[in-house]
Amino acid sequence: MRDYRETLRKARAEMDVDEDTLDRVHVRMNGVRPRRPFVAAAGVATGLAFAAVLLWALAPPPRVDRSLDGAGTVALGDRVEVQAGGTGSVSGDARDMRLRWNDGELYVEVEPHQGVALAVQTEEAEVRVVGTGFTVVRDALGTRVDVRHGRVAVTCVRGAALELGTGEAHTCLPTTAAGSLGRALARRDTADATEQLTELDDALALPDAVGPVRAELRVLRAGALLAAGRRDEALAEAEGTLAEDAATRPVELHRLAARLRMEHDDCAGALPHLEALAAAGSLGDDAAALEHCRALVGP
Amino acid sequence: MGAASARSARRFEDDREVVFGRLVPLVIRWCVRLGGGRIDAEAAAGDVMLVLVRRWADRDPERPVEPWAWGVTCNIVARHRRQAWWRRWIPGITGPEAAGGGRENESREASRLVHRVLDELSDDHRAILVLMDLEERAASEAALLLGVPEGTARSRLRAARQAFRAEADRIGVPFFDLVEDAPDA
Repeated sequence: MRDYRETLRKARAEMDVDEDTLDRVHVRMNGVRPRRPFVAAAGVATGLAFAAVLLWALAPPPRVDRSLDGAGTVALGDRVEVQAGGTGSVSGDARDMRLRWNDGELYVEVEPHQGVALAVQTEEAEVRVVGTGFTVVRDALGTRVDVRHGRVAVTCVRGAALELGTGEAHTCLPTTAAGSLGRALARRDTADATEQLTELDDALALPDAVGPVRAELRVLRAGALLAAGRRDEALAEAEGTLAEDAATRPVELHRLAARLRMEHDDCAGALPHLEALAAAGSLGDDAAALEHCRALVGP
Repeated sequence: MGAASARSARRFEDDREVVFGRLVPLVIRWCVRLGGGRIDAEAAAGDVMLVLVRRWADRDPERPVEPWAWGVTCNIVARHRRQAWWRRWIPGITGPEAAGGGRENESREASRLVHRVLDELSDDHRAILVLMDLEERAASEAALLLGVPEGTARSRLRAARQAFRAEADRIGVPFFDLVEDAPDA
């Protein structure tokens, strides 16, 4: 019977690598015939050829820095293709690139499993990908990412990071109060009131939600509260906004407040709003209410 | 030369050192040990190194090189083994083992025996025996190379040794010392 460890020890010695074997494998890598000891020049040439092959293999990939403004279909290296319908730019090299996208639609196709790292950055989001196809649209609503195939990692500046698979989409909200106002205005007639209220509350909490932008967001919030059936809160929002120095759209707010007051037969509360409408020459259909309240409460 | 160029040059030199100083001998040993007597281990090692050099720029520099090189080696050796198996049926072509001949000594005889048994084992068993018993790597190191948990490497080693013993018995070369414990990390 044999000793297992002893047999392996002997086999190991036989299976080891000697210098000749190393040389032969080096030569195979160069695809040239084995050198002869007496031809020194051939050895030097082999070494140079090998260094050239290795230098080529390890050479840094080409740079892809350029503007993408209205560029249409562009190949970025040999693994990435984009269709740029807007403005932006790309920096980095063919293996690791970063696209800065300002507005419009960007269609990206990355050849999978080729070790290409690609990130698209907008003001609202960063999309990271290795091998997939997706579209980034930046407009008044924020940044929307649609994944055609593969997976991407999306990090919204406002909100958590998430992964999207084939057929999935996500919109990263604007990062500024003004951007949020643009989104809210764009969706005013289509968005669900409750969802819009959530977004408006988040926007009002942003540090740059001040002055006219803040007042305009509050006007929209009063309207969304009314649409959601929260009439008392809508009244409070309208009157609160009117009390602010930078109040915008006073006629709309006074009219909203007056009518909500009148729903409760609160002439005392409605009268200042009706008087303000009269002073602005915008009384319109509320003239009868003004006459009624003046008679009831007094001028 | 700017700082970036100098860094790039240093990186190239570092990589070159890794490729030639460490990887080439390692890959040749793996090809010899995994391939057995039927394949041309030097040709396989040449193929492995070509793949590694070609994909060098694509690899993740944060990850160790050896597990990647091991994976490539296993794939190339498997291809050479398949080719060698088909070659047996083609008249007039013989594998390196049959063509070798020459002086026989204890080491060579042990090597032939170990290869003969390893040839009959599954790829998983052959790999774990090469890494832990022939190369005497710790279970943690073998697990890293194979991409499996350390416990899996240990249990696979136990099963592989049993398979080795069974195959050695079958060909009439029994062993009496098949240790059960894997080396510590």
